[in-house]
Amino acid sequence: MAATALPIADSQVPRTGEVAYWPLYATLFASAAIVVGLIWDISWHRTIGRDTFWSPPHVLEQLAAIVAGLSCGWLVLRATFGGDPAAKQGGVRVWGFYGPLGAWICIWGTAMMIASAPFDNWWHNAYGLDVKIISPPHMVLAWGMIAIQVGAMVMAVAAQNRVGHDRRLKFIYAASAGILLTMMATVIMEDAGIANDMRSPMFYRMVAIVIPIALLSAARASQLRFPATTVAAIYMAIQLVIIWVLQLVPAPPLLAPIYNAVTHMVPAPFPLLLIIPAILLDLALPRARRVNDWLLAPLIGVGFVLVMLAVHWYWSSFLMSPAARNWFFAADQWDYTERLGPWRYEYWNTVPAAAFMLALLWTFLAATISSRLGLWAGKVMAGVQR
Amino acid sequence: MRRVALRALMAVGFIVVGAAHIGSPDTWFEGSAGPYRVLVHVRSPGVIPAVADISVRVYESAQETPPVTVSASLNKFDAAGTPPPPEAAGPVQGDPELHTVSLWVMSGGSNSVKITVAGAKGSGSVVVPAAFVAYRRLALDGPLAMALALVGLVLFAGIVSIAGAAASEASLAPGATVDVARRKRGRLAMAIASVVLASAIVGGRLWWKAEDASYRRSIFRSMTAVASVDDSAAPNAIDLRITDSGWVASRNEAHGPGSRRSGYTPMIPDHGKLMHMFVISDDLRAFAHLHPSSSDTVRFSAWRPPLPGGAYHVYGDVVHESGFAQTLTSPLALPGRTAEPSSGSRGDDSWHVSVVPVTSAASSDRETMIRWDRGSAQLVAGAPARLRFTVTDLTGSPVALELYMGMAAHAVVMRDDRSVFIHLHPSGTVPMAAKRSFDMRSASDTVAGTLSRRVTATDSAASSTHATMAIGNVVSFPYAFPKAGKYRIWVQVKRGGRVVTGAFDADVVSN
Repeated sequence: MAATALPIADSQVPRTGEVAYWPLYATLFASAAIVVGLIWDISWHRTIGRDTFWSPPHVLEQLAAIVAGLSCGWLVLRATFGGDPAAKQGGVRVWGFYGPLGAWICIWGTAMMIASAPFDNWWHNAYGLDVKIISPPHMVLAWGMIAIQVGAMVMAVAAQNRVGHDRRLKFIYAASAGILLTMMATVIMEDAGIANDMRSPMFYRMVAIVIPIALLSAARASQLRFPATTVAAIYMAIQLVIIWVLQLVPAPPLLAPIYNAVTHMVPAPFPLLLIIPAILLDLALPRARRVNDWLLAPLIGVGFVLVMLAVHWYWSSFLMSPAARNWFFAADQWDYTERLGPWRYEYWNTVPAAAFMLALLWTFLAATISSRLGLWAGKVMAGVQR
Repeated sequence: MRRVALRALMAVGFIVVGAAHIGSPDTWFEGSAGPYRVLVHVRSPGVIPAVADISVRVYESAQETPPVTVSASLNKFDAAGTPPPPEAAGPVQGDPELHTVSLWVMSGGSNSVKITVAGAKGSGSVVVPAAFVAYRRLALDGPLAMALALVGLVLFAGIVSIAGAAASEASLAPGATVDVARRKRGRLAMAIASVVLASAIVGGRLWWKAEDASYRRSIFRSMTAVASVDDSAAPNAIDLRITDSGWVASRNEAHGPGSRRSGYTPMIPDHGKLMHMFVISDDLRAFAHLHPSSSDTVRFSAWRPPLPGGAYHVYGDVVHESGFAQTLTSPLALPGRTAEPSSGSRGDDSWHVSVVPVTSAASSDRETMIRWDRGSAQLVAGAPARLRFTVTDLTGSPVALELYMGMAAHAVVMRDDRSVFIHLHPSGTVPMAAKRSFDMRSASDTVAGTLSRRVTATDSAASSTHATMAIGNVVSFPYAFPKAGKYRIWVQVKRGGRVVTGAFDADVVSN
């Protein structure tokens, strides 16, 4: 009896060392396709203008949703009905079904993306095609996209946590966090992307809200030695490759009025130098293990804003100089709808020094909250097992 | 990227400064594209940016081999660069003369559509001015609203459940059971997620409301104006004074550069007149087509014809240098005099008071008959209407017509609730001045007023040379009634140096 009972009992003990890689790769692909599709689509609207539901960047987005939805849906169905107790016990239960937490978040994200389509369509009929990134239906879509990316990240971090020392899993997690960071930076690109904005309070407020949470959560949950640096480097690499590739693609504007006759895809601005605060974070964080998170958050938040300010205040003047007007830095490239003028080389939305200082206080507060949330999210992610 | 947002704001600004006519936003144009006679319909999308559906009927092209090809491109009046490549308009199944294409209108205000037709007879093109403004608001209701709400509810419940599962189970080793403390944590997470999400939804709703309010402010309104009777003038005058502060400020340098200026370009004369003023009684019996003079393009003063007393509305059609046309309106109470059928003209000004509504034939003098060849088919909203009129003497013999202000005929179409008002010509809804401003535009017209001077010069020259030209006795107007209802149509032609007006009633059914 004992001899036969052992294998049965054994099969019911979850095999923590075993990881199915394909769902991690599938969701990582979906996550990457989302951000690449988004950056490509923005470039499409700035260069070509005319698009349909079936334009190539849109198809890439749809493909991402399909891959994420189907692969995670399969995971849930298999865990629930597949008869493999390990799969069931390795998942969390939602509405009677079982599946990895990341898969659930991906499924929810896919549903959000699908739901945003009729809403967005109605919005265009009601108010006209929104030529801006941030509108209510676009936010529903964006939260769907971000959810898929968060889901991919949670799946990767759960695998990393379960298995322990597996370099591949550590990098899959870092990649998923880097992709999410790229997404966040792209969503705020209208206010915090271009060099002309780098002396406006809005630039610092937007990065303070969005970036610390993305960087810190990854820095805390990753088992790499330089996690924030790795994540920021992945963000930079993704952005640079897309910027360099887009500039190679010839494309004419197809909508009127054309005020700026561009000849190739207009790339996104040069990535933010997030790698500098990331390096400092990686150096500082291991030395602050004993510091309470409530104290750590304002320190990191204020430090982050000051480093960003010191770096981008001067970096922007380089980006606006003739030295940056080349394929490498891709500066001074504008939409087909722009009437080019001296505003190209001017700082926008600047305010007097006193107003800037006052705005900075709010920025510190935003960065502190974002940092606190990031520390919390990192701690939570470090503990995710399923 | 900041510029993208700025551009969106600027587009809204242009919407405020754009549009023509009342309740009849589509453009109809009949004319020649080289060797081909074409009828062009540009459907206004009602919001911007959006797609405008364009249909082109190439008359007598059904039998041509090879079949004619039609292409169209759209451009903004001030676009400096090359226009985008034209798009092919595909033939419509079952109607070989008709071709359709959809073009994106990205920027509101004065645009133009260039139609090119090529075939066995050669090729030719024509530029059709088309103004686009936001004029409608869509409510979210019905099945779509229900479906979206339902989906929203499921998504809400879904993410709350996922949050609960994350808090209670996700950090457990696989296979471990959920204890009471973790269950509690899960419930707490669900409560927090619900509150956070509900706040996000409330915030989103406020944002949506703000966007909606800003959109509603961007819906086109023509410049405000006030009509009055000037008793001090001899003879009496009807005044229409523009009260739009932006326009008035931009005419008056004393307001200084800090004041809010109008985005409108200067006005240009259409058929030699800076404004075509229509004074129409609210019961639609009395009608006058007048041409006020103005020394400052703020106050327009017209001779007052012998119209009966009562409630009126004044409609002032003006065209801007950009090619943008708009109709200024104001109510007006005319004192005195009882209603009597009367009709007459003084120079290019004319009036017509009818007592009995007419459906097929009308005469405003005792020598001319205007007959509406309406056929037996019903008039259907949205469908091309047969607005063809034959002018004869009382015995039915054709009469020779003269051009009336450069046109074979003028017509005004008005719905009985005044929700539709439009001034038509045989060429359609496009003011000739707008057409000229596009035809004569050159790259060097960078200073406001440069183009308008040239348009003005050719406009007055054209008006005087055409004055005595004889034309046939049949006139037609390309048009489709925008909605069902009761309409009155006034048709005006010139014969023997006098303006003759016919008034007709039309019942339009919905499609």
